[in-house]
Amino acid sequence: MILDMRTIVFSTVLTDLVCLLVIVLLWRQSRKLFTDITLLALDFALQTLALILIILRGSIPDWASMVLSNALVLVGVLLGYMWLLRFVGQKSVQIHNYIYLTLAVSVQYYFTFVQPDLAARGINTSVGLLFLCFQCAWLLLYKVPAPIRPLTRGVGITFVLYCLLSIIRIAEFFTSAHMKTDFFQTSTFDALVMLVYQILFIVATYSLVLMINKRLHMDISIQEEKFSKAFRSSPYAFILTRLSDGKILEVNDSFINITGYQYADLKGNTSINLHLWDKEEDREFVVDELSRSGKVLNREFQFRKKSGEKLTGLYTAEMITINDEPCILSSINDITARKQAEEAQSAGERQIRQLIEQIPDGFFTLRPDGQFIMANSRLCDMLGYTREEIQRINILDTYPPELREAGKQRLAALRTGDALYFERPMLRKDGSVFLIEASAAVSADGSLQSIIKDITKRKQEEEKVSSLNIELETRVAERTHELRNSQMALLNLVDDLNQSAEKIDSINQSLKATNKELIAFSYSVSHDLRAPLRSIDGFSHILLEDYEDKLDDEGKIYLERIRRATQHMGQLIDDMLNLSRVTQFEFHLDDVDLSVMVRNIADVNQQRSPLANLVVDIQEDIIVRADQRLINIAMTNLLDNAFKFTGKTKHPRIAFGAAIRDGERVYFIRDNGVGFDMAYANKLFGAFQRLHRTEEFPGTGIGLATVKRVIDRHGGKIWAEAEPGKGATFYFTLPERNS
Amino acid sequence: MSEKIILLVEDNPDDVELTLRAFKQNNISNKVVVARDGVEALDYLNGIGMHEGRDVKDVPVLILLDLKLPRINGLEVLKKIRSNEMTRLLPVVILTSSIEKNDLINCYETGANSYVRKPVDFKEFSDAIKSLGLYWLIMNNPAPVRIS
Repeated sequence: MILDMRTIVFSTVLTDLVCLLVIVLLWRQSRKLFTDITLLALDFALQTLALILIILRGSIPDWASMVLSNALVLVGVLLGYMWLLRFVGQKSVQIHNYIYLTLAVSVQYYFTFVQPDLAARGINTSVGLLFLCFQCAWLLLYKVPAPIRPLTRGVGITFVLYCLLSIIRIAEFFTSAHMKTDFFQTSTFDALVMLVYQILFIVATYSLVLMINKRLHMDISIQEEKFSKAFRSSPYAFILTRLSDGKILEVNDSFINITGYQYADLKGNTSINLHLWDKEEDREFVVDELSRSGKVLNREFQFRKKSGEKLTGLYTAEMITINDEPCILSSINDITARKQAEEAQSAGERQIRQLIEQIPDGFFTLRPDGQFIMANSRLCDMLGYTREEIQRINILDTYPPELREAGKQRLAALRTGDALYFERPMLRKDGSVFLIEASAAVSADGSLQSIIKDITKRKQEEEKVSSLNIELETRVAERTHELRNSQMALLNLVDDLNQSAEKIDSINQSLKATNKELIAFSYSVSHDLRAPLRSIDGFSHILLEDYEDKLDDEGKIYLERIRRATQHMGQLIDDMLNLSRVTQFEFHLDDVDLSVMVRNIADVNQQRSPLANLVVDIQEDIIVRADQRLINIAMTNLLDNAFKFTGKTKHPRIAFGAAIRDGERVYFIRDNGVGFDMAYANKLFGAFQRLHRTEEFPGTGIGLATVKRVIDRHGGKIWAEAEPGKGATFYFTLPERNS
Repeated sequence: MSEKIILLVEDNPDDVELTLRAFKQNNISNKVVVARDGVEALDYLNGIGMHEGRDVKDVPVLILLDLKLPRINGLEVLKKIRSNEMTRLLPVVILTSSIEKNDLINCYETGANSYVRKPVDFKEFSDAIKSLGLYWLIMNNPAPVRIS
């Protein structure tokens, strides 16, 4: 078979053109995406052009058809390689290729004009192709990262085939015998080679197109993946709606979650008929804004959930065109919670601010250098500055000049993180000074905070207390000293008392002894004194009786007088014994019926020496608390007196009873006898005192003394009232029964 | 067994004199034996000492006993009298100046039958003796003598 080179080349040109067309279409479609695809287009263009030049050999100058064409082929491949590099994202400097290319073109020129050699030219071209195609193959099969290799494998293999072809051609050149001078007058082999080149070219085109297509698909996939993921998983609610009517095209999961709608609810609905917008005019505003600037950024709007609940959202939207329809891609950031938190925080802040204003102490914050940031109104009042004025001054301005240094040190201490508590004088705007108690610390944000309290008053109080205390202490010391002296005196007194007590004790003892002696004495007296008296009386009596006729009247009278004297003495002795017994007897209180006692005594007396016409008037049931024996002695004595002194009364009347005198209970014995002169009443109760003469009324004068002693021992009083000739009443009191 | 004897135990001679006179004046004619102190009294009653050989069965019908006696005092005598089987039941009248409570109690405790205070006034004294005699010698029935 004779394969006509020219025909093959010609058909190659045609196929090249078709391929070029494909590539150009591809270029047109993809140049937005693959900006460098121009290089590829140029590659194909040059290849085609080169072939055309070859075809036109003879018609055009040799330099064009031989040198330029080959140059164009190589340049084209180089361009293709450069595009491939960009396509796979690997750029590299092609200086080596530029150099080689220049070299190859030079060689081509040489072997065209200087030493025309078809074989040489053929080898040169093949080598050039090999060189470049090898680089392409190498790039596409090895240099690209593994994930991309599936994409580039097709084209890579094509280039490998190109390389092989080139190698075969070169080999053939070296092994073929005959010289070739004309390209077109070549052998079958060459024609075959050309054919193969043609086929490869088509294959290359196909594979490039496929590669690009695959790449596009990959890119779309990735884009879609990216977009989808971003859309689906965004924490913001995404919604894609048609601009014109708000038809919901797409929503993401967050939208579902935030609004409560389900995918089913949204199908076919619009954002308008679902009332997603709280206010219709908001949507209109957004549409407006989008139309003007294409985007809305972070505007706060109110939206409505499925439940009707309102949510506050930060709304961002962009206009995008899908299928030539303007759509809105919106994202809503649900900031309801944040808003509430913000509200709570500002409420909290308001509360704090209120609190700061309400506290009775001054509160303020400072910058680290001491400049005021804020102060509550209390502080402003304390210092006499207005709020504005305060913010212009430094805390050091409130220190008296001499203490400013200390103030600076304090600030420094605070800045290092110490919390301080101290008292210091504070300077007002008007220059007056007052004392404060302060606590200060650095706060989290670096500012200094302090609370102060005006303690001028408290300090004054403390001073007062302090000075009072000192006064008190001196007084106490004085008193203690005085007390100590008194104590000493008391102790001495006690000593003296103790001594006196001892003395009293010993006196008591001797008194007891004396008492005992007295008792014994009275005992003797009652015996020993009476016996001689008896003798005197007895024998006087005998004398009178037996010697009656021997005695004259006077003698008888004398004897009578002796007898009376002895009897008187006997009575005296008895009375004295009684008197002494009153103090000796042990005192023992009992309930004593005085009425009964008085009656008994009166009866005895009346029996012994009866009084004519005697009337005794005794009040009944007078019961007193007294010593039985002693009160008996007293009553006996009183009644004896009553009987005695009514002895001369015609109608003697003796009365006993009780009465109330000056609120006191008094007992009385009354007689209507001879009475006595009240002028001598003070002598009445004296021992041996008599107010009457013995001839008139015998008596020893001891009786009433005895009675007084008895009443005294009872703790009572006794007194008498009388009128001469009318009678006498003796009153006495006795302490009450229960006292 | 014959006559009723009164034993008077009294140390004061004046008082003895007066007592005897009082007996006489009041027609008390019993034989009165006078013992000048307690020892004599007991001697008499026991038939010893100065009354050696006396018939002790011949007990007095009344003993008038003073308390203040030399040597053995009246209370002691009374005790002795009361402890002697023969004289235990004899009437003893304490005749003394004292009216002390203790004396009274002790005498009665020891078994005196009566206690009379000697008045100073002779008239009264005489009356007292009269009453005593009347009562104890005539009215009163003494205990029968036990001869064991």
